[in-house]
Formats: sequence, C-alpha cells, structure tokens
Amino acid sequence: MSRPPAEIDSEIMSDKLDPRPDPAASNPMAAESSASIPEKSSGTRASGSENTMVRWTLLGLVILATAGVGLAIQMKFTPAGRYGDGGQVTTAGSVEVTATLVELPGEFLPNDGLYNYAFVLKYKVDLVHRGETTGDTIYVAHYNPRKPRGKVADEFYADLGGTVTRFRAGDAQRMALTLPLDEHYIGAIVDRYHKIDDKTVYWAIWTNATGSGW
Amino acid sequence: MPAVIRTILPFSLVLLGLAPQALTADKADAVAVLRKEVAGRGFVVTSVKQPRGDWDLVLMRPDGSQRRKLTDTPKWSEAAPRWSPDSRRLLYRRIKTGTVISHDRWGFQGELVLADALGRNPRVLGARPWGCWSPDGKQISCLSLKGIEIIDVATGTIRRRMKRAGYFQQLFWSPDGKWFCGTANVGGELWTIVRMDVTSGRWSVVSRFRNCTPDWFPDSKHVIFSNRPANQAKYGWTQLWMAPGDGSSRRMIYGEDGRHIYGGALSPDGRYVLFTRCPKDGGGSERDGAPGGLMRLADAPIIGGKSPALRKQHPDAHDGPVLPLLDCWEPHWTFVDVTASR
Repeated sequence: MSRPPAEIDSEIMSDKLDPRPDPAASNPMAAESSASIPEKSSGTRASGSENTMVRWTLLGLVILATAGVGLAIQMKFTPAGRYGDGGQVTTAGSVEVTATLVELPGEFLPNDGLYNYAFVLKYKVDLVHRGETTGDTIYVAHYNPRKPRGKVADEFYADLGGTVTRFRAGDAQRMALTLPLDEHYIGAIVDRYHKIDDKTVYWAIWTNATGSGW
Repeated sequence: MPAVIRTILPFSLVLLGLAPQALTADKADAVAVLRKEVAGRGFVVTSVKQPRGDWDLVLMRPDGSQRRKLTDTPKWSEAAPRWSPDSRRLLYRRIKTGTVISHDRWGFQGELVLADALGRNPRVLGARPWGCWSPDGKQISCLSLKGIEIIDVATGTIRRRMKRAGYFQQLFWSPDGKWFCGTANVGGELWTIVRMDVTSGRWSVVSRFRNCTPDWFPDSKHVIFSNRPANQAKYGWTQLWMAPGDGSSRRMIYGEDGRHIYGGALSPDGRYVLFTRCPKDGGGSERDGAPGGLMRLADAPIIGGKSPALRKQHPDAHDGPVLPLLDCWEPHWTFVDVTASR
C-alpha cells in the first residue's frame, strides 16, 4: 500500500500540538472524530491541501472497508484450514508447496501394515511457499498411501503426518517435501511413472488438505 | 453278475479301502526316514515365541530333537540368528519385548548382537541394519539409508561404502564373498530379487514381481527366496522358489495353498531346505511364528495339502516328505557341533 503524502503527516503533527484537551487520550473511540472535526471546521487553510487530505483519507477508508468485506466473505464461505498451513508443513523438509494431484495412476496396493511401501503421485505445482521445485510438475512419494496422513507415522518413519485422509485426483494439498528420496526413505516404491527418465521424486513428510482446489 | 466278478469284487473293495491307509503309512515312513537322515547332521538355531510374549533363541537338532534355549530374556526378543561361517560365533538382533517384529523389515529393528556360538557373552554392536557375515567372519555388511557398508567386526570401523542401487531390505553376502543378494526396487517393480557384484557394484535381476527374503545357496550360485506369483486367485499364496544368480530360470521348491512359505534356508551341503508355513501372510514374526518344515531339495517341487490349483500348475510335483518342526521363525543350520567345547 502507498504511503500518504507529507502534508497529512504535518496535519497530524499540528493536531498533537493543539493546546485543547485531546478526547482520544481518555476515549480511544473518539480519536478519529477528534482528528476530522477541526479539519472540517477550519476555514483558514488552503483549500487545495485540504481537499487532497480528505481525498486520501476517504481512499484509505474505502480500501480498508473493501479489504475487510473481502476477508469476511473469505472466512464465511471457505472451509477451515483452507490454506493447510497447520502442523509441521511450514517447517519440515526443504520444500513447501501447494500442489494439485493430477491423477491416481492405478490402485494402491492392498494389505498396508504388513507390506509397507511408498507410492509415487504426480502433482501440478500451484504455489511454492518455501524452497524451490524442479518444475511445474513434480512427483511425490507418499508412504503407505491408504492410511490417513494423521496415522501414517510408524516406528520407521516417525516424522510423517498431515490432515489429508485420502488421495483424490484434483485435490490441492499443501506439502512439506524433501530430497533426495533415497536418503530419506528405504523401502518398497510403487512408481508407475518409472518410464519417465531423469525425473525427481520428492519424499512427502507432511501433507495437509487445502480444500477442493486452489 | 458273472461268478468271476462276484469273487473279485469283495477283494477289490477291501484293497481300495486299504489304499489310503497304505499311502498314509508310506508318507509316515518317508518322513521317518527323513527324520533319521537329518537327526545327526549338526544343529539348527531359530527364534521361538515364548508364552510370556518375547522371542528366545532355541537350539535343536535338524529333526527337532534335543531342543534347548540359548537365550532367556523376558525384556528382549532375540531374532534372526546366524552363525559365522566357522560356526564359532552368532549374530542376531535384539529387539525390545512388545515390539511387533516385521517379517520383512526386521533388519531395521533393534540392535545387532554378536555372541559366541551358543549365544553367550553377547556384545551389542548398535543398530547395524541387516548385519550379515562376510565369508571370513571378520567383517559384516549392513544396509541403510547411507548405502551398503562393510564394517570391521573387531574395530567397528567402516571399511567401505557402496551405493545401495535400489536395495531396501534383506541384504545377504554370498559365501564366496563375490555377491550380495537382496530385495530391491527395479524400475517400477518393487520386491525384486537382485544380485550385485561386491567389487564392481554391477547388479542384475534374479526374480521379478513380489519376491522377498532371499538367501544364498552354499554354492553362491543360486538364491532361495519367497515369491507370491501372479497366476493365483485373489491374494494368492507365497511359495518358496530358487533361481540361479543370473536369473536365467527359476523353479518352485515348496508351495501349499493355504500357507505362506517363508524363512527358506539351506543346509550347509545344500541338500536340505528349512522353511516355515504360515497360514497368514508374513513369516509369522508378527504373531507367534509358524510351523517349521524340512525337506530334501532333491524332492522339489513339493506341494503340501490339497492345493488343487497349484497342482494343476505343477503336475509333476511330489507330495513330500516334509518333516514338521516346531513353530519358529528364521531358522539357520550348521553342521558343526556347536555344543562341543572348542
């Protein structure tokens, strides 16, 4: 937001030097009116300067009101956790993105718990919050994908978590990721994109839901 | 009805009635012969679940006789024992009681322990995932996120480190020292058995698709492993298979519909095979172990139980003999008399 011009600063300064008692000192709610009443009643100032100040004040009020209404609408119509920034997602790993799951490349394997594995999923990056990605499309290995992320941590991978309960194509997820995969995960990998040469596969540490799209 | 038939019929019916009994008696005799054959051939060490909840190491003759505990530690489970090539020492893992032992990731659990051949004077070596003897018993190989590490047993120092090339569990060093085998990710196929040249790091596939728990034959040229083939209804059953190290062919050793076969291990001369028969998938380590079995490799393939679907796929398979052993997990065999004072 742009800074107000210098004359408004000087006006405020002159108000503070006014010997009259300041109502705002005892009543903070009165501060705004006490600042505006003398300006409007003053007939000795140059009219150009006065108009400029009023215009800027009105503009500021309009901007503030618009922002407030926008925020209220956002909060009213958006599910809680829309931005998925809870848990360790903002601190874990080296890369943090919000990305949309492009597809589910076949079914997950059965019998989780007895056989543990990581499943590689393809994402379109919507926003990079932290670190850098290798491109707009990334591949992410998720541990035991049938399990809700909140229950996926085990004695072998204790730092995993998140709010995603199931993986669905089209869902946007906020993820804390790390590289290289084979320095963070040692286990079976289901990679149905294995024919894509030289791709980078991230290891998902934290995966939060962000709602139905970005 | 002709008189001849009237005369023969009763005798035929009697013979038909006796046939199953005769077959059962033959089977029992064959098992008895096998029992006698292996009884004096060294010792087997294995993990056995105790009623109090932990696993202890148990020593026995290959026929299951002369059973005795090598460890008796309620707070710890002792798992996956392996004698050194000279059978003077024993490597095993020590895992806190209450921990569910993973049948395929046990090498990452607990700590590696070095003891004498009867489990005495144990020395904890630390995590050392998948610790496995070198041919001379002076080093062990380990598999972790850092790669494959060759560690000097006496000093604990890392002598060499190699990339793990897709290996993720169950790394074992061949008796001649030239190869590793283990379970790896290869391309899009997980649970693939891979052989790696210890010197060059070059690797090749031994068996693809749903394999695990590989181990070496004494000749270092063949690998034994568990495999759940795709050509089965629904989930299917895990069978015991073998293949040459170059992966040029493979054949079933033992299969049984209704049982998952794990823990494949050879006798030191490669003539006999130990395994476990678990009704639920996994080698039984997650629960109370599984019934052990012993067979001659020369009798392979053997199919246990009725297993009609499996018998169609292997019409030349034998019915046995299989010598039943106690419920156990990960047995290991030596011909050396480890009970003798040396």
